[in-house]
Amino acid sequence: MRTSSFHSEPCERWQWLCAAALICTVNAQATAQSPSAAATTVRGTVQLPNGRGSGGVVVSLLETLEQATTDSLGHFALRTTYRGTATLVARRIAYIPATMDIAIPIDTALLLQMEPQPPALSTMTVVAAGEYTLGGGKTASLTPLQVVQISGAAANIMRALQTLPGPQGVDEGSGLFVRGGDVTETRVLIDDAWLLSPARFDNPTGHVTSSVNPFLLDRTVFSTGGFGAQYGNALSGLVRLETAGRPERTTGTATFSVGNAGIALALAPSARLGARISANINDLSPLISVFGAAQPYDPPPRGGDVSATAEWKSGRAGRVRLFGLRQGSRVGVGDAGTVSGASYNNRTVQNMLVLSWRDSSTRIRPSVTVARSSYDRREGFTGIDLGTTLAVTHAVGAMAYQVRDGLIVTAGGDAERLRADFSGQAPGTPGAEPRRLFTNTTDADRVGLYTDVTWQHPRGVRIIAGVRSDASSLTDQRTVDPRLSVAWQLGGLGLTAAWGVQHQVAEPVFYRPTPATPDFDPMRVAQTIIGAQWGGDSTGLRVELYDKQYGNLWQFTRDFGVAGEGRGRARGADVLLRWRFGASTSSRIAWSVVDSRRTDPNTGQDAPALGDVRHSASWITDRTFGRLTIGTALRYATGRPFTDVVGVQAGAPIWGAPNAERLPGYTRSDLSFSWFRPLDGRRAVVLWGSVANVFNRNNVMRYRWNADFQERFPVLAPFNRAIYAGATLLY
Amino acid sequence: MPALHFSTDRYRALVLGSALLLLQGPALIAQSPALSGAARWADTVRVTIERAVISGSTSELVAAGALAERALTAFPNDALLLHYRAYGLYREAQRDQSRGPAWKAMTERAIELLERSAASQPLPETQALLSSTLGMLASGSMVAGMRYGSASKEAGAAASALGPRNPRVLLLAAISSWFTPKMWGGGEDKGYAMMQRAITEFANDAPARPLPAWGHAEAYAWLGQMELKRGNAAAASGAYAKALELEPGYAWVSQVLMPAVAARQ
Repeated sequence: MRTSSFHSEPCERWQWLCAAALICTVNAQATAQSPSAAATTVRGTVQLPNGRGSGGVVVSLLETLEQATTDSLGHFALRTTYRGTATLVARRIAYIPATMDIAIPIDTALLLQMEPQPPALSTMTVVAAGEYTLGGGKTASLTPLQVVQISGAAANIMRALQTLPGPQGVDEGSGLFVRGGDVTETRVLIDDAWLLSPARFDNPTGHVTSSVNPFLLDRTVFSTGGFGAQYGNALSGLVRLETAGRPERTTGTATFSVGNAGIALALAPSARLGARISANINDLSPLISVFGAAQPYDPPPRGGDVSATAEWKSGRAGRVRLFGLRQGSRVGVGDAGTVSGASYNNRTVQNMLVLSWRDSSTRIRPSVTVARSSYDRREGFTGIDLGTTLAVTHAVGAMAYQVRDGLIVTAGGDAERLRADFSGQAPGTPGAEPRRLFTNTTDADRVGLYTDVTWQHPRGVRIIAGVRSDASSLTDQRTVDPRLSVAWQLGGLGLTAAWGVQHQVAEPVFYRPTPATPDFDPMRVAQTIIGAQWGGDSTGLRVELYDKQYGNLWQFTRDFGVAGEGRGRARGADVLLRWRFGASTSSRIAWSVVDSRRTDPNTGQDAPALGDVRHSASWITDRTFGRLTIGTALRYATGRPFTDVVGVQAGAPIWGAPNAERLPGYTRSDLSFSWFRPLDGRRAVVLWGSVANVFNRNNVMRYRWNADFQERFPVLAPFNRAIYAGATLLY
Repeated sequence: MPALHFSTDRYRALVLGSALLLLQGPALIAQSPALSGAARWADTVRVTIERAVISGSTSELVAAGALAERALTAFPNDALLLHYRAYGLYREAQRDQSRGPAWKAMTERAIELLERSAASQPLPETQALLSSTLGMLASGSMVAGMRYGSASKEAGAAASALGPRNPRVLLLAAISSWFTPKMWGGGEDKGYAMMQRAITEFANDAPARPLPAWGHAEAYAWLGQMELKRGNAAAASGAYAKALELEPGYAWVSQVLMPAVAARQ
């Protein structure tokens, strides 16, 4: 808010003269009220809660600051020349100041009783072990706008998360391989409800983009481990997306770029009701036709999505929110298999509807979420058509109770019912029916209950202890997961530690209920994390060390068989360094080191895991020049492991030691800019663009072989250097 | 040499403030016979700040701040004292055009005090001041806007929820809207309409001591500026006259705003 400049120099001069006069007057009064002539004594006792007198307490008149000190029995005698109503204050360290209004002169003895100072809860800025936040809040690492501006992330939340410590740079896709774990071990939630497929345009070289528009989100919390008892059925990582709430005003945006068009509306019809609507269509054909692609796309990625949020403010701190999402996509790539010439294509449709209620207006804080999701994927792979249909109903409820300051008890649970249909068929000869290879329908129910206690000590210690128990109809087992998280803040330094057990039911596609297969035990990991944090959002350093011990892992063999009872371990360190140069430049470096091994599903040997990318690093820098923002991103990862072909026998490959070889190291550089220009008081335009893969680096994602396995060819990352530009109109 | 100029002003304000406290502090306290304890001190600080705002004296504002700090040593968690200490800092920050480190420290202290006050006793004015103070910080740069903008909006929404007809909430919201572009949800028309609403609500405003009671004359001072911007010089003069009728010693109106209208006419 601005205000008019106002300087009253003549008035100040007048006051200056008055001050001299006032001081003279005060001196004159002081002379007139000399202690010998007008002084009176205020007498009394100061007591502690136990009734004993307290010595060494400073007693003063707040009006004049005249003071006396109590003797060993708590008695005081304060001489003053002041007359009238006054505030008498007794102060002692670790006690609340005791006050009393008195009229001077006073001839009665006073009694001041002191109460101990309740220890104040210090503000905890230390972030829980393993947790990173995108969005608002004092511990935010990235805002939604920054997600969009990260060079090379293409407004993809999952790619943005990959620039934080924890995920390994396994490929150029959206999958999150967290701390040596597999991509299937990271669970994505929207308003606590399970998002079946967080990625779109999935293909053998990764996923092109993520499911959710970052501007529909308020914040994203990424847990690389150590998450609380509230969250179950996730082994390695957890991404919690919270949808944006009721807008405060009606606005709109329209975006056009090479291969993409979209509109978004935020409607605020009343103070209690609001809605957001977003629709996008995209087709990367123009981009690929101009700049080419390292991978032969057929068809190039294209799709569309519609999403909407409606929120009703149900009270002072309560809301009911309905979120809906529908999206479809289609993509195809060549050289998709181990052997040259294998092609792959898919068509997917995903729907999701989430109804949630939160209320934090009282000490009892309920939250309820009910969601229904479906995911349908039709794939074609080397002449076989595969169908996957998933449908889940998920209900989540919790009740938090603030017992007193610093102590919160939470209890809740979730229940999900999943139906998974898988089918495979081979196209028949012209005019004949396709030949059905297999069909499988699996129903899986899971019910989880948990409770946890959050206790914060006034001296900066926070402890969260909880336990959860899950039962699944697929595993026919009940699991019990204890979790413990400790944070200790020492000024600017924060120390964290977490320990816990997590279970996850393997995806239904692994479930083969035959007598030959072992029990479908839930996958298990026990992990320990210790960490240290210094600084804040703009400048700070965060280091975490972790150790994970896996059991009952379920994995696919090379020919899509199922192998259970796998074991593994992962150890590593994650480092995040952030700093800011002045107000316009910020930079951060994330560096992850991991040593991850697990049972090879083909041989049963202990071998490097797919996520055993020893070093992954990203360096992100943003600089603003007025309305222009320029960003750079540098990514580096050591090569991930792969199993080489070491010979051929009867036309079939002889595979070498599992995951004993390494792909070449991965490097990529990206550049982006955005320029904001107001058009008038109501409208503005943002011009933005990026140069992806600036140095046109041909990163190797995997290898393929010719038909007789005599020759090996690299399968490159999908995109060459490309310039991508667009405009967004805000109104 | 702006820094030296500021230091000199600050020194003069401190000397003046001490002198005013020495002489007028006890008298001001005695003017609150119906109140006791922290409320009595809060009322005194309230009156002192208002006197400083009307007279346009930075030194009196500093003196009011010293009085509030002194009272907070005895009543460290009193919501109203925290509120008024922050309000004094807010007024000081409004007058400090330097936007330097001292200004930033002042605004950040005000925010901290307002948050503590709101946690203890949620007053609409506390949230409204929090919103405005955060808004002042947010206007510094695009980065500051990203950091403080949403918090300012949240506090503004909380103020409106707590006191939808509170005239001081409406006054601050009107000023904020006036300076906020339409595309960000503000606009001069919206600010003008909201100021009219604030003035209507001020007519029925009778908060009990020591609750906040400022803003009635100030609303007319801002209305006058809005009228002038809309080309209604006569209406602006009328608004300023109304402000002086409410606060005859309102130096900002009599020495800055009124002469500006006269010069235009």
